[in-house]
Amino acid sequence: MSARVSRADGAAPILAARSVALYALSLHAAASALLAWAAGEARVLAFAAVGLAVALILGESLAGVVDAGLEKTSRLRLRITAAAAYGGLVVLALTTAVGTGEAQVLGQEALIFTVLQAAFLLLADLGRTLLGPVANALVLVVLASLRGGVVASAAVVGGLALLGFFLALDHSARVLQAYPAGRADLLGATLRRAAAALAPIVFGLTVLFVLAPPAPLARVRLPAAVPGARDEEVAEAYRRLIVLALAGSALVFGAVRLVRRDRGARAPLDEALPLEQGAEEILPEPPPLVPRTYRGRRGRIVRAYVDVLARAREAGFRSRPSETPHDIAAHLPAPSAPLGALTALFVDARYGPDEPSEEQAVAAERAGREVAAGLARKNRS
Amino acid sequence: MGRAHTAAYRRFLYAALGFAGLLGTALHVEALTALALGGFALLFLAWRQSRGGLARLAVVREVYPSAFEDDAVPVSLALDNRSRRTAWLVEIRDSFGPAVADRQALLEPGPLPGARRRRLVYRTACSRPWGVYTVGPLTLSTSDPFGLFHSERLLGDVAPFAVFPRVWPVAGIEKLGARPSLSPQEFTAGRPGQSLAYLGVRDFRPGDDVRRIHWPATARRGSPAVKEHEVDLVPCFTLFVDLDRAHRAGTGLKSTLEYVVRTSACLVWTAASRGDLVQVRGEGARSLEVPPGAGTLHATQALYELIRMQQEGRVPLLDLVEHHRLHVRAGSTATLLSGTMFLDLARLEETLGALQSQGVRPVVILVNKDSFLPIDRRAVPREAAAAQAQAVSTLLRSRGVPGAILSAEQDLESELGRPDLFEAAG
Repeated sequence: MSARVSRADGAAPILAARSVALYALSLHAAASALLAWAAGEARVLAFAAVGLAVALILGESLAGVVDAGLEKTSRLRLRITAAAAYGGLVVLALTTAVGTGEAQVLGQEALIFTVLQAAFLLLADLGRTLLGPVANALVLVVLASLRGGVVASAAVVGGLALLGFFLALDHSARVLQAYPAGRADLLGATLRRAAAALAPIVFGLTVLFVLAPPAPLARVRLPAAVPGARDEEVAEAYRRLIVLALAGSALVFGAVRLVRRDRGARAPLDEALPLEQGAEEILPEPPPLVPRTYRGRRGRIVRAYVDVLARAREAGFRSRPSETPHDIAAHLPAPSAPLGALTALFVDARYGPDEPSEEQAVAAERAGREVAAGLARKNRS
Repeated sequence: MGRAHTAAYRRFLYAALGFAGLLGTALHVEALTALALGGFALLFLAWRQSRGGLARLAVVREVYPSAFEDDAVPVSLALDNRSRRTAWLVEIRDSFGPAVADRQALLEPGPLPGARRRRLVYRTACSRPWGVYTVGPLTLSTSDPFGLFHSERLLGDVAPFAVFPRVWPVAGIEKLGARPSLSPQEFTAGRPGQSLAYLGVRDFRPGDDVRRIHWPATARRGSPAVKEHEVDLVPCFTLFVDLDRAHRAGTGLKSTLEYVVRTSACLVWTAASRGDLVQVRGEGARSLEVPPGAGTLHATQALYELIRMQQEGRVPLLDLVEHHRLHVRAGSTATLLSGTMFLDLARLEETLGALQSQGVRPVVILVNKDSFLPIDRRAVPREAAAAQAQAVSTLLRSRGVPGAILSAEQDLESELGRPDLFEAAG
């Protein structure tokens, strides 16, 4: 199935924003590596910005066309072969870079991986995920990190932040695409949630790099003619980069909104249905858990039992008012031995004539803890 | 939803960040070590958030527990967020047994603020044939904001759901005892009673309700006169169903069980719709007993019993009728629904005579099991079947009993809807 994403679809702006985040991540990683090892001239950065934008737009336009005619197994075989070849190339490149310590080699590698980044963007939709461009961007960030200083710091902090935004937008887009088009407006919320989660990490890394600027790889031999870019030059290069990134992002956002195609494949046994939303209600406050009338050892046993019921409710368990404690025990997904013991002690304490003993109260509290732990385990799994 | 979630990014990050961390430590490149630390911090935060996302979410389903084949069914879900945090992108999976798809997947994109309940409705169709199915369990799932960790919780909300056969009005039985009345669900007799049907006017007697005084007649006669109404007669419809295992034949939609169940359902629904008191009797592996009752709820109960019946009995239809004959009210209609044409004609005649003598109007519907694919015994030759059909028709005609013979080659819907259905055999 190949259908244009409807403009009313809530996923459309998120898909476009995801492309922008991927573009920004790609450009940032490529520019960092080029700034670190290939001087980062203005025309090189501009060429990279335009090339990556064009590759991404073409990749989005050709979504579903590139893999036409390839069966699922053929695509999988192709992906595995390409991943193995790429992994080998990365290991070889990093070994060579670290082994030789030649800045010129690192510069050439930065250029090669920048070209590869464009290739990955062009073929992004060949796989189920956009792992290719993300992986290559991280390789470029690693290359930039070897340079140390401001470039490495900006590469790491910016790379992680942009990776986080890309992952958040990719997740929202995937989930929304898997369901019938709705009016969900999640772009702002997705960006806010991602920003809130990323803020402490970005802040922490920034503080770390300010306090302890990262050193370059010790064994790298920089040519005497190229002692490394001065801070003013780096700042100027980043200013140019920001302008290029903004222009490229606007171009990518607009183009993707126009040309994006959605394959929309889904598991045949699943029926994704549109949802009708009814009124929203305020949940009533839960009733007080323990009646005040139960005191002493009897009260301890009742409290242990009622606490277990409260935890079960939190875990989604529902009991009807007509159910007896034994009915509840039969249906509650919790360890049966302590639950049975607690139920028996509760029934005796709540309805029996005799005051329970201290041993019984302790046993009930112990059983309550075991049942609560069992419920928590179920909840986690 | 397979495409919605992927562990590829998480696995890649584990590998790539681990590699970067090792490389940074080995080469003393602080930026690489910091990259690994920052990445793992991102993974840890994502893991924490996914764990907390589901903790206090709950969903409960509300659905009417029965429907007819091909009906569209609205299923209502109440999604509770008992936490203080707003919930986003909550996925709900339900399993509605009568639908073609195994699972129904729904998305509540959010925001669902804390301490709020949102009522959601999805619509699906009963695409599978009649029977008792299950609905549930429900599954709730959410992810962290980056989609790296996916949490899912199974809620054991499983409930039965009955799908009744589609019912078509049986045109033929409208003629059997149906009479026009002021009230569509009440029948009357021409003697004084409580009906809305107007019988006449008589002199006022002590104890009469003053609200029933007929003022124009009182003015004309000069003495009080009251309106008199007819007595109510409630029509009664009894269905005897043949569940003898010897009469099983055919498979799927073309089987005697299918024809018996669908015909029974149509008869019960038609009779109940016109206001009859309906009762059903049968003897399968377990007794099929629907006591007399009226109204939609009672008809629904009867349908529920019908869809659970199996042709596993060993009691012949005529024995069943004989056993329950005395419980059939005078003035009512009793339908004998047989899975075969090959009934003992002498006994059939005796049974019909006995019913008629107690004032019951019998109707006979025979399913020609030999027209279906034979399962465990050979079909009777065509000539013998035609001769038996002729003999049954002659018998029914001679006793003035309406009857019909249903065969596999007939379309049941159009056959039951034929106005002259009971004139074919009877």
